[in-house]
Amino acid sequence: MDSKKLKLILEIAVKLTEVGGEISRVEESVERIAEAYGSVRTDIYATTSNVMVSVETAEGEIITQTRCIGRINNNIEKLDKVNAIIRWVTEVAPVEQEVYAKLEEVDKVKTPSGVLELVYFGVIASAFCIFFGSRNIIEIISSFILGGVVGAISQGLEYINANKLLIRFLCCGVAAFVIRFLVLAKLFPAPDYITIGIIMTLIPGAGITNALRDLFSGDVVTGVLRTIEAVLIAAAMAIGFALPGIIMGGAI
Amino acid sequence: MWNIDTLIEILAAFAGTIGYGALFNVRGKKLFFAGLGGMFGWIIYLLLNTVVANEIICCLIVAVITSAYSEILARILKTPASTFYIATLMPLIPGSALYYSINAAVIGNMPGFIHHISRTVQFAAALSAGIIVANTVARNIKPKKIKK
Repeated sequence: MDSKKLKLILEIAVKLTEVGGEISRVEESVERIAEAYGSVRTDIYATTSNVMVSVETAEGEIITQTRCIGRINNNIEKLDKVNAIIRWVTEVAPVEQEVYAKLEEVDKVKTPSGVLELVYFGVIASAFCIFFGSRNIIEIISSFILGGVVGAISQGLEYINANKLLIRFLCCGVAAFVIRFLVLAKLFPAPDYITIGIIMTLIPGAGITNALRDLFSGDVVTGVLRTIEAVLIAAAMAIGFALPGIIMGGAI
Repeated sequence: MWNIDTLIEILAAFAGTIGYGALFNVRGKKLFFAGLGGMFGWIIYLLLNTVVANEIICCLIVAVITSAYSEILARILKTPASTFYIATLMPLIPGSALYYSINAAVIGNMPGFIHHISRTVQFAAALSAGIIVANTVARNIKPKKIKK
C-alpha cells in the first residue's frame, strides 16, 4: 500500500460515483480494495461531490487523499463494468497499470448514440401517454415526436453544460407551448395525456430512487442532497409546464 | 375489467419501462428483465386494485414486490441492483398526479391542487417505503464479511 495505490483507489471511487453508484457501494468498495492492497485501517467519507480516503499502511504510515467528483451521469452498463472491475481487484489485487487499462475500457463503453437516445425519449413519452389513458393515434404520434424534440433540447443544453434545473425548465416550457398550440389546432381534444407522457420522460425517477436508497442505508448527507435535487427538478418542471398558463391564461 | 384496454395499458407499461431502461444504458437480457419487472408490477397492481380499494396501499405493496424482484435478479445476474430499480418502478411514479396538481395550481383551483398534490406525495411516499423495505431487508441478508 502506497500513495500510488491510494490514487488508484480514488480513481475507482470517483468513476463508480460518476456512473451512478450508490454511496454505500462506493464506501464499501473502497474499504474492500484497500484491504486487498494491504491497508491496515481504512477511513472513507464520500458524498456525491467529493471523496476522501485515509489508509494506514502495514508500516504504520498514514496516507490521505481527496478527490472531487464531476457530473454524475447514470449509466448502468458502465456501472456494471466498474462493479466487475472492483470484484476483480478485490480478488486478485493486480498491479496498477492493469487496473488503469480496464478503467479506460469503461470510458469506451458505447452509450446510445444521440439519435437513438431521441428515439428512446419518444418511446417513453408515447408509451406513458398510452399508459395513462390516451387511445388517440394522433396524440400518440405527437407525443412520440415531441418526446424526441424534448430529448434534443435536453441534449443540446447538456452539451453546453447548462444547469440541470434550467434544462428541465426549458424543456418543459417548450413542450407546454407546443402542446397548447396542438390543442388549439384541434389535433386532439385535451392536453392531459401527452403532457403526462412528457413529464414521465423528464421526471427524476433515477434521482429519487438513488436518493432514497442512499438516505436509508445510512448515508444521510448524500441522501438529503439527492432528494433535494430531485424535488428541485420536479419543481422546475412544474414551473415550466405552468408557463403558458401563466402567460396566456387558462389551464396548461 | 380485463379487456383490450387493460392489455394495451400493460404493454405500454412494458414499453415505457424498456425505454427508460435503455435511456440509462441497460442492455440485452437485463433490459428485457427490467421491462418484465415493470410489466408484472403493473399487472399485480391491477389485480390488487380489484381487491384493495386504496390505491396508495396497492402502490406500496407493488413497490415492495418490484424492489424485491430487482434485488433478487441483481444477485442472480451479478449486477448492481440499480440496473433494475431505476426502470421497473417507472409505472408507479405519480406523473399523472403531478400533472393534475400543476394544472389545478395554474387555474387557481386551490382545493383541487391540495387534493392532487397530496395524492402525489402519498404515492411518492408509498413508493419510497416500498423501496426502503426491500432495500433494508436485502442489505441485512447479505453474507457477512469474514473478519481476519
